[in-house]
Amino acid sequence: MRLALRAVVVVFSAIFLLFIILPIAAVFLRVTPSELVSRLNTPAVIDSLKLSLLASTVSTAVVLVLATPISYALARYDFKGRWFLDAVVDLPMVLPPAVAGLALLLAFAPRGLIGGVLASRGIILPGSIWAVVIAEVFVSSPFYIRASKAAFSGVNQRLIDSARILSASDTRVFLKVTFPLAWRGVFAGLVMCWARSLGEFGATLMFAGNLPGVTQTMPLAIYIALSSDLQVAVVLSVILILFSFILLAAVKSLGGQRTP
Amino acid sequence: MISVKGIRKAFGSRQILREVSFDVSDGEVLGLVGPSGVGKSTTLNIIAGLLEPDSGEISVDGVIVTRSGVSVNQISFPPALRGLGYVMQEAALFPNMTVQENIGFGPESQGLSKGEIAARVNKLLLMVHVEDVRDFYPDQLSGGQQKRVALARTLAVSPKILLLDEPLTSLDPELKTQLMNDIRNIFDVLRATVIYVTHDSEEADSMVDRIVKIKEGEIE
Repeated sequence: MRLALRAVVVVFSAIFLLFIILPIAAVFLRVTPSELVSRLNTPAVIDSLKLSLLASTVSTAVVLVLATPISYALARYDFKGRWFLDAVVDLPMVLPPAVAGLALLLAFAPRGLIGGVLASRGIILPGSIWAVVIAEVFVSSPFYIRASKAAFSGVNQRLIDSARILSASDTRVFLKVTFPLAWRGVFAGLVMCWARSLGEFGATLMFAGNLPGVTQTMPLAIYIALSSDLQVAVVLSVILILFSFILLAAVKSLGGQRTP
Repeated sequence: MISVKGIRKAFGSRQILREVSFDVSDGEVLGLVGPSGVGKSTTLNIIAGLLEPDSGEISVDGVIVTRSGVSVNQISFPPALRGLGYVMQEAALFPNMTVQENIGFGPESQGLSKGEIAARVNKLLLMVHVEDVRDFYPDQLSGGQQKRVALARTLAVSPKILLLDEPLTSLDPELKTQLMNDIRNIFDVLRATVIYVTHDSEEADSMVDRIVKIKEGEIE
């Protein structure tokens, strides 16, 4: 019986891994290392790569600053309507990208809910890098909030109680006890948020548009290159896959380290 | 002096404390004794300000630090302003800090100078016999050492009142006897007012001046 179970595990795992690896291998097999290097120097690749890295880094920083307080509150405080707030912050994760893009347009475009006010002050978001950042913050923030909330929740309440009795202010408790014990989860959340931002496509296309050098991120450049130069799409895909894998490996390796 | 009057506390439909009242005089070591699950730790948590009672009043040296209930003005001092030290049942040492950092955490929070903190930490390391593990992290310590460090960390903020929740639990007999003697010595030296919680009547007999028994959320 045990042998049969083991056989099922091995066979199904092999089929599943093949299913994941096969499409990725198909991308890598389409380009030689020398072609990869030479294509990296084309303006389309360099521009979209730069823009993607810049926008995803800025959006991750924005998420860190804006979303950490709510993530901490959801993890550590018991208040009325917490379940509702929890559902609201998770919502962008389950929304179809087209809906997210449309919602951002209806809110921030010049004829949108608050876009008119912004436009009257000369701020037109669609078609700018800020629209890319906003779209990425919108869709990737739940990945950070989920991970950091779990990390903050995992800190033993007795440690926090002890720190409070030992005259520590709330800020000191957070900086010296809660955050140092939760940082691995917070960091993992940031990495997932960054990776999700890097791969963001639908909401960015709808809200920010597809302007080379301005709003055309790597996923958008891949989409456009499919109909003009397939090899550029392949090169960009290889870069995205490599980045994503390195990020995931970094997060997984953190999980295996000793908690302080 | 601590005065605990008519404390009641329920968690959901479960009434943990029905009516808990007792006084502790200055310098007295009071034992709060009873089997597991009768509300001893809940009582300490309420005195420490970590839990709000449903009703009742607690005063320290004549100052009301907790008052709850219908038709009374609610009072709740934060834990740090109660002048208490609390050694919890689990040592609850900060796992990201060394032994000396754990002990120095309270004095640092109180804004003492580096020199004062170092002097206080060194004195306490010697007092509870953990000077040789000062740079160790909590997960490198034995159960007995963890209890000693927790005691030193609590004493580091010079509390007027000491709350101890089963400080000798889950220790082997030899360690238990050693720590018992050390804690008793500390009580004598500090002349602190102490509430000592234990389920063990024999332990209470040798550690405390007076015993108050608690059963099913009520003082017997």
